Amino acid sequence: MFSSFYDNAKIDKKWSLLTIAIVLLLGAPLLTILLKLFSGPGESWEHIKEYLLLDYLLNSLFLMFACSIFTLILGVIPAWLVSAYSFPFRKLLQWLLILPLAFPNYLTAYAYAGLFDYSGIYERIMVQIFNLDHVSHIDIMGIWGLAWVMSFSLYPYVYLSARSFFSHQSHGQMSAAKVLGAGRFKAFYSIVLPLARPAVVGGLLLVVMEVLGDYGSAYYYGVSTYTTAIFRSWFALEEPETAVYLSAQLCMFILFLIVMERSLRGGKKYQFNSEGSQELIKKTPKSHIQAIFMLVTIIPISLGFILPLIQIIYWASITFHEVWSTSFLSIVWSSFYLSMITAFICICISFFLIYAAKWSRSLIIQRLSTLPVLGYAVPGVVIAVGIMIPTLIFDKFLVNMTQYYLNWSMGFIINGTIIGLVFAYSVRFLAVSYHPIETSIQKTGMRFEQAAQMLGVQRWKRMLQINIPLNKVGLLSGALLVFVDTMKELPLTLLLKPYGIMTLSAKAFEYASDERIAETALPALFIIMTGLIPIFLLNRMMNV
Amino acid sequence: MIVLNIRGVTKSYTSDRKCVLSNLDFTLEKGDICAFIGESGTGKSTLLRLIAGLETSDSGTIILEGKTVESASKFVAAEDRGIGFVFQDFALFPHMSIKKNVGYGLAKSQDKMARVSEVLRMVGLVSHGDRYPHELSGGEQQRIALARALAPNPKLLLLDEPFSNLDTALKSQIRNELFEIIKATSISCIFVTHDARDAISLAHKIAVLDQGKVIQMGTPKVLFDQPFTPAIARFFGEINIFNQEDFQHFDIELEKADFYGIRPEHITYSLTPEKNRQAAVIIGETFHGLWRKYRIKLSSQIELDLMIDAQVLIEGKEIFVTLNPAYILRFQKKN
Repeated sequence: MFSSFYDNAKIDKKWSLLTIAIVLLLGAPLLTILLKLFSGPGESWEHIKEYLLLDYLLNSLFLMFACSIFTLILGVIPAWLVSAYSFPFRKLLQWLLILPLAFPNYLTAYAYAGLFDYSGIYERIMVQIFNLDHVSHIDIMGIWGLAWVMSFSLYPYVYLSARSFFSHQSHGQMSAAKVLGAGRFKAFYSIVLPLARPAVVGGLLLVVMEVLGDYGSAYYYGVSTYTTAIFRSWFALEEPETAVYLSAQLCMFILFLIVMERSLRGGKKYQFNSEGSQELIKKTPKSHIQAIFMLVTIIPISLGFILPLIQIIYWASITFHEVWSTSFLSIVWSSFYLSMITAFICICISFFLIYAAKWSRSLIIQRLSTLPVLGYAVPGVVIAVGIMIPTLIFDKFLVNMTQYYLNWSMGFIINGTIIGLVFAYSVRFLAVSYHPIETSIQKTGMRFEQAAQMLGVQRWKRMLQINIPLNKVGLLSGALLVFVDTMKELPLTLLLKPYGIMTLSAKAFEYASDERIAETALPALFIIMTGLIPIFLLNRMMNV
Repeated sequence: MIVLNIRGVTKSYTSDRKCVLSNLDFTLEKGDICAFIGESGTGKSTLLRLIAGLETSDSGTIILEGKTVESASKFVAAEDRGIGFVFQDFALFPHMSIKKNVGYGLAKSQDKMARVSEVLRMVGLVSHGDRYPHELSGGEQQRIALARALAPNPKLLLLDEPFSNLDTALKSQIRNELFEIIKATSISCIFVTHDARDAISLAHKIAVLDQGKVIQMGTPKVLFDQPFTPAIARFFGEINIFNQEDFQHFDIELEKADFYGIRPEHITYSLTPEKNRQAAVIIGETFHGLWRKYRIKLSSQIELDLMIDAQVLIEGKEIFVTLNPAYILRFQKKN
């Protein structure tokens, strides 16, 4: 394979080799983890296997299934109602339903912990407004509470994919079912829902990946999952081998889920003609039914966004003077610049990979160049572990070399530095920028690039003068999405942030771990506000 | 002098492994305007893109002005070939003014703006320099696309279906204007089209592509008068085809062939019986503007199309027809 690649004069070697180098670099953490699967765990593995593994496994599986069922109900039903029926405030509710996406799930978890605390808003309302003498305490701090909280935070993934399918792809099928005499409800469950399965499963896969990758919520709610186990092995047991081993298992499981989802989609290639892309005609039900539909759509918004937001705003108001300081501003600045750098790197790499694949004229390179998007499927904690191992070896090698040859003792370049952290963020979030950029390039097509090529203009000039300006919207949205995701990211930040640098997410986690839960509010508000920007844009894009 | 020499070029797409071009040979003399014609999917545009360097062939050699630009061991990138290309949808850069579009392929020099003005004058749009592509009509965009391709003085100009994006009303006017400009520059040019009228009126030479091969090449007159196959003949207009047995009914002495063909406008008719004419009945009529096409059934049961420029016949009427031997085309079966 290598010789046929190298002997082929028509393959652009320079761009192909650069693509291979980037793919290897971005794939290194994942490769390290997967290879470590074969080198075995550390000493404490036997202990974990004996007493803890079943717990980790059952908890993770329970969360996965519970959240899948909850998000399915919370996502699909409102998606169908806003797509197929007309009722008051439908348009407003339709986009409010996406808002929980602005919350990283650990912040929703903190807010719920506060809401149902002994002196929390829920109990105070019951006592003060309803004059109840005795309020039975709702203990949310357990696995059921965690599943509830995460589902309300993550249902928008299912809602978005289902809504997009219902409103734009189901028109033709609905019309056909109606002509054949089926009612709206029958047409929904017998025709539209089965056809929407690939779209809904795609959304569910994102939910499952978030659930399995979560650390902040599970840690705070005291639920032991695979991810919390990886942290514990690394920090509490000080056994990186076991952490890596657990990471590899988690990684394999997620890759298995991706393959399953792809094969499920691949086996059922539904075709939708252009007529099917018309928007579904909305039916206006009787007024009491309209009221029920409104209520049904308001529930996920209230529980997923409004209630936690009220709790966080309340906390922010009582802790503002305590938290707001110059050091807090420096935390905001750190989060901001780390996210900016990551966003910039991600859009540069995505843009390069997409074009380099086209330039290389090699099918292998074209396939290879899409591999780094898999990084998004890998939990942050796994990527962090996968980066620590090879970078530690590299840094130690570099330190020894400079010591030996230059007699100069330098510090680590990647491990425990901003470079390492941004590298990890980039591995994790490349896909987030890759998809909008790829869509934009597909829309623009290659004709302008080729027109410039035929005018004798070289690559870098074409990039700067033609391809970047023509795809600037895709590049900006890619950058914005990475920016927001980097701001929210917790486990990876906790493991890799350099000493002396603090981010908003890590600060919120630190406050929560110190049982200063109210103080998490101000960093949380910053994260949520930034998270709202792409949601506005996303909603505008979906309505165009 | 030979500008372009293509030897044994083969191209297939990995997606369906279908061979688009198969062992194709072709040469183009300096100053020639050549049209590639053929049905959709015959590989016309692929061939153009291979010459341009926008795609790579599986095997074969492409030589441009004596220099190999593609072979098994060599590949010169499109940007280094010095070929001008006018795209089917023009591909004018939407974020650049007309002047910037036209000057984009020119190196920075003092003469750059002079050259831009010169080519804009050549296409008659010198006053449009500061406008943007979306402010121009389809015909104007077409001329700007040509000006942009001509500005760097390319060795060869390629045009991919240059008129398919234009309204029918505008098409013939723009077609003539465009080729007046191309002829004035004496540049060697290849264009692909599925419309034989474009090829006949504009090209010095026409190459007919079928199943990835050039099946006939020659001047428009040669192709029109002596097409190798019924398919080529059909490309230039409607034609009646007979096999040997049917042809014998006409009692015309001609060199033997497997098939014979005659265009509907070359059938002679009379309203009264004449010597060597066959009786026929009109069984159908279609309106073609200035022309009327009649479907006729001969006494020998053969059905033919007859094209005349006036409505003098009515359905069911008996007429007497013969074929003018000077216009009969002969075809041999493929080996």
